[in-house]
Formats: sequence, structure tokens, C-alpha cells
Amino acid sequence: MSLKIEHLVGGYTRYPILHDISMTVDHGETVGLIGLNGAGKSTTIKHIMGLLKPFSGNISLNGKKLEEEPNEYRRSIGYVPETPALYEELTLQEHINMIQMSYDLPVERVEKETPELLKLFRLDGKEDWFPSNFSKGMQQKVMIVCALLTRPALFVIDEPFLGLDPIAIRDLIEQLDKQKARGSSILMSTHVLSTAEKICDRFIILHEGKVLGQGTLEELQIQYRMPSHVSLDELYIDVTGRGLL
Amino acid sequence: MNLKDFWKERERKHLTKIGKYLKYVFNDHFILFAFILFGAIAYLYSEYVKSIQINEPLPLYVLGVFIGLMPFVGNFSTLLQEADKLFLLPIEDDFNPIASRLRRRSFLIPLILLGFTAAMASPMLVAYQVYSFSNWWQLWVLLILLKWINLYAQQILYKSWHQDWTLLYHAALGIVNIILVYLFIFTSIITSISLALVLLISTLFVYQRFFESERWNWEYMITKEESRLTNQLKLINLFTDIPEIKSEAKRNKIFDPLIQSLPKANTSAALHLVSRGFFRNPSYINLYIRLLAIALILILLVPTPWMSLIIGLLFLFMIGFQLIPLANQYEKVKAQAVIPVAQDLIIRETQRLINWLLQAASLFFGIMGLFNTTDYIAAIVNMLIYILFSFLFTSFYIPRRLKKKQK
Repeated sequence: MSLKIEHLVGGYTRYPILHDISMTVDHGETVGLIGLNGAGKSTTIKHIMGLLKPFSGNISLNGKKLEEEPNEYRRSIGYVPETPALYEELTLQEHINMIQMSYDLPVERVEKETPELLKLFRLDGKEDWFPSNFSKGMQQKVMIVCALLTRPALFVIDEPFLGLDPIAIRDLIEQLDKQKARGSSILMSTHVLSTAEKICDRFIILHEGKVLGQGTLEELQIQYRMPSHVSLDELYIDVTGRGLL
Repeated sequence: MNLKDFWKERERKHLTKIGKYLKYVFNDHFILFAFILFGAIAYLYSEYVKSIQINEPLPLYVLGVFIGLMPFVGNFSTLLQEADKLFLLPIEDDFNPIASRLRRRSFLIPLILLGFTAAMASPMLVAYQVYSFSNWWQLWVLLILLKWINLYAQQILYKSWHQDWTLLYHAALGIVNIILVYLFIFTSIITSISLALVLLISTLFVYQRFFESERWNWEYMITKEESRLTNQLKLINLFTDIPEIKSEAKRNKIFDPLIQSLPKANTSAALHLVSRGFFRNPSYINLYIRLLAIALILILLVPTPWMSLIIGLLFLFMIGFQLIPLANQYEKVKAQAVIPVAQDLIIRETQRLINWLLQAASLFFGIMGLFNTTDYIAAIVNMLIYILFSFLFTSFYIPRRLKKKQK
């Protein structure tokens, strides 16, 4: 499964926030979308999800646009938003049922995998609890479990490490690796560059709604004429610093 | 469980919640006040209709604008929630039939309200010889058609991906409504209704031809629904305390001199807390100012001192009632455990603060009453009654109410 964004211009109202963005996430690849606050990361993600409509440009998943096969397109994406969005009146188990129904997942598989995932993220025994009363980190775990259950072709994760405890971060990374081995692609926006450096194959640097650079760490080091020992953190600060000037 | 049942359950929960709040709103006192107010308005209106001069059409123009704006009341109620844009995205198509059901449902309350509007407007329209009493339903039919257009237009907006059209859409609809109502009143009833029908069919056609297959703009719909629900709760919040409505503290520097002038002895620590709670929490201070302003305008407009008295008392009650939660707003603040301020002291000081605020309102009401009558004695008596009411309300009603709440 590959995601392709070509010359995307978009935003919320009349004024574009994203200017001519082009990027790809190839089959089985983990791509880190990095940028300062307000760079356009979440806006890009909302465009991919179809929560916003491009002013111009194309977004396609395996060559298919959202308009062509909306349900199939959306079922191919597992989305974990930056702020957990949960139903106040639904229990944890009922959230999982919702995901099973709206993604049309096989019941037996969901029933088999749910306890494993809940245990892994230490949510077991809380099936009848209301996640709206959980802490933010636990709510984020619920969102992650829901997304993992969908076994999507593409994971879109907005700030996955925000609010998670170190063990949950480790488990999430392990799970994402598993999904990747199954052939899923992953697009994640993040500020935690040290972790991103370890798990992402490629990076896309967004700044003020434009793609400043993209490629592997080595490619970025060459592109910005930096020595090979420079970390993503250092490179990023330098590049966006230049961008700000 | 399918999406239809899921929504039915959500509707049920929503209605239960609103029902619960309405039960608090329509308590015995409120119903009594509302009856008196309604009776007074009806009487006043009938007196006014008797005095209508047919060669002075200005009131009819004003009525036309009022009627024309009525179809805006009651928006498309989708009951969408933030989480829907995540969980329901993959089954967006299934939402189409739900939306049609929701649109029909959103029509129910306006249907009654518009019937009421038509009935209320009819005495004036009959006096101006627009139609005879038995034909009052014709206005209802026009308003129903306009409401349908309104709801379809809203659905178009939800699928248009042009949020920046919102204002334009409201302005255009408002103008169309008023023109058709004017046509109804001044030219021809049948032309007006026929035109509305043509417009409804055109709107339906535009929707089906250009927008039906479009995607829903979830983000926009959710934001709209949230603000619709907040407005609904805010309206109910005028009469009873709704915990879901939270607002952030604001400095409101303009009131600082007033706050500073309050006693500072250590016995008044509770007052220190409660007074800031009132002046810096927008939900209290804004409410006070808003209700005060509405009451002052009404008192100035009504023609007789006894009407002013009823309005004044109703608003004093509403203001006072709204301020009661001031006594409980610090219950959960841990600081209270650190700062030794007893809850009964807070209750006492809240009572004192509400008394001051109501006395101030009484004075304003009384002074305003002097402006609209030459019967100064009646106006002064009114002012004294306001002051007495405020005193009785804070001394007897508030402690009873708080005790009931604590139980």
C-alpha cells in the first residue's frame, strides 16, 4: 500500500495553510512527519483522512482517490489523532465493538486479538469502564488499540508518543514493527525526534506549510551538507532555523 | 447494533438529559411566573391590537421582519460528537439516511413553534385585513415551506466544503424569508406560498443534483453541533444551573475598584473568594449584566407600572437563582482545605453578595421604572417591592435552596 500526495494545496477556509505539498509513503515504510507547531502536520493528516478537502492537488492510496472508493479508502487507514476522541457514553469494550462494526472487521479475529492488545497496554480488566474517565495517556492507548485492531494498510498517527509512559512507548513501537512486517505503512507526525530517528525509515520536514526536505537521515545530511554524525535532532533544529531566516 | 439504533440511543440520551434540565427549569415558581408573564403579554397584545390604525403600516413591516426570521429558530440537529469523525468515517455513506431522519426530526419543534408564531401574528394580520381568522394556517404553511428550505440549505452547507459561505447563506436566506413574508402580507398570499414552493423544489433539486453525492464535512458539522448544543444549554442555563457549561476566568479589570472596596478583615476571607468568583467568572458576571440589560429594556418598554413590576420581579428571581451556585463553586477546590474557610461562611457571604447585587438591580429597575411613567408613586412603590423581594429572596429562599441541594 502506498500513499501519494501530489501538489496538495489545502487548509481550513479560503486561505491555504499547505502550499504545494508532495510526498509519498511507500509499501511497508515508516515515515516521520516532522515540523514545528503550526507547520501543517495535523492539517496534512486531516487532508489524508478526508476531514478536509484539498483546494488543489491529489491524494491517493494505492492509486485510488477518496472520492472513488470512500469506504474502502477510509477502511485502509488506521488513525490515531493527537487528542483522543472517545464517546462519553461508551465503555472500552463498546468502543472496540464500534471499531469492529465501522471497519467491518471479522468478529472472531477481534475477539481473539482484543484481550492480547488490552493486556499489552495494561488496559485489561477495564473493558466495562468508560474511557472518557481515563487519564490522557490511557485514552491514547485506547485509540492505539482501536487502530491496531483494524490492521490497516496505512497507519496515520499524530504525535504517538505524547502522554504515553515509557513502557507503552516501547510496546507501541514493537506493535508498529509487527504491523510493518505484515506490510502496513506508517505515517507519524512527531516532536520526539530521538525516537523517530530510531524507528522511521524516512523523514519529511514540514515548515510553514511547505516541504523543506525529505529523505532518509543520510540523504538529509547530504542535502543540507552536514556531517554524518549529526543526529536528526541537531539537523532539524539547524534546518528549521535556516527556514525561519 | 447498527448505526440507526446507535443514533436512536443517542437521541434518547440527549432527550433524557434535556428533559432532566427542563424539569429543573419548570419548577413551581417558574411556571407561576411564566403564566403571569404570558397572561400579561397576551392582555397587552390584545389591547394593542384593538388600538391598531390600519393606515399606519409600520408595525406590520416590523412584524414581517420578525416572522421572516422565525424559520431560523431550530437548527439541523445532528447530535454529532467529536469521536464520530474517527469511528464513523469508514461508514460515511450509512450516515446519509440517518441525516435525512435527523433533518425530519429537527423539523418537529420548529413545526410547533412556527404554528404558534402564525397563531400569535394572526390577530395583528386580521386587524390589518391581511386575511380572516379562519385562514391563519396559511401563514403556517408559508413558514413550514421556509423552514424546509432552511434545513435543506443547511444540509447543502454541510456538504459544500465552503464554511466561509455561512454568513452569506444566513443573510441570503434571511432576505428571501422576509421578502416572501412581505409578499404574503402586502401583495398576495397565493403568490407568496407558490414562490416558496418553487424555491423549495429548486433547493431540493440543487441538493440532489450537486451535493447529495458529496462527502460530509465532519469537522464543520461537529463544530456546528457543538455550538448548537452549547447555545441550547446556555439558554437552559439562564434558568437552572448546568454543570457542563464552564468558562475560563477573566480578569475584568474594570471591576477591580469594586472588588478592592469590599471589606478586607480576615473575617471576610469568604467574601474575598466569592466576590472574585462572581466578578471574574464570565458565566456569572456576564449573566448578571445580560439579564440586567434585558430587564431594563423591558421595563422601559412596557406601558404600565404593574407590568414593570412583574418583569422586574421575574428578572430579580432569575438573576438571584442563577447566582446561587456561587456558594458551591469552590467546593472542589483543594485550596479550601488549605485556607480555613468554612463552607457555612461561604454560604453566608454568598448570600450577602447576592443581596448586594439584587439590591443594586432593584435600584436600577426602580429608576428605570420612573422613566416610563408619570405615576411616580407607583414607580416608587415598585422600587420598594423590588428591594423587599431581594431581601426576602436572599434571606429565606437561598438558604432553603442550598440546604435542599446539600441533601
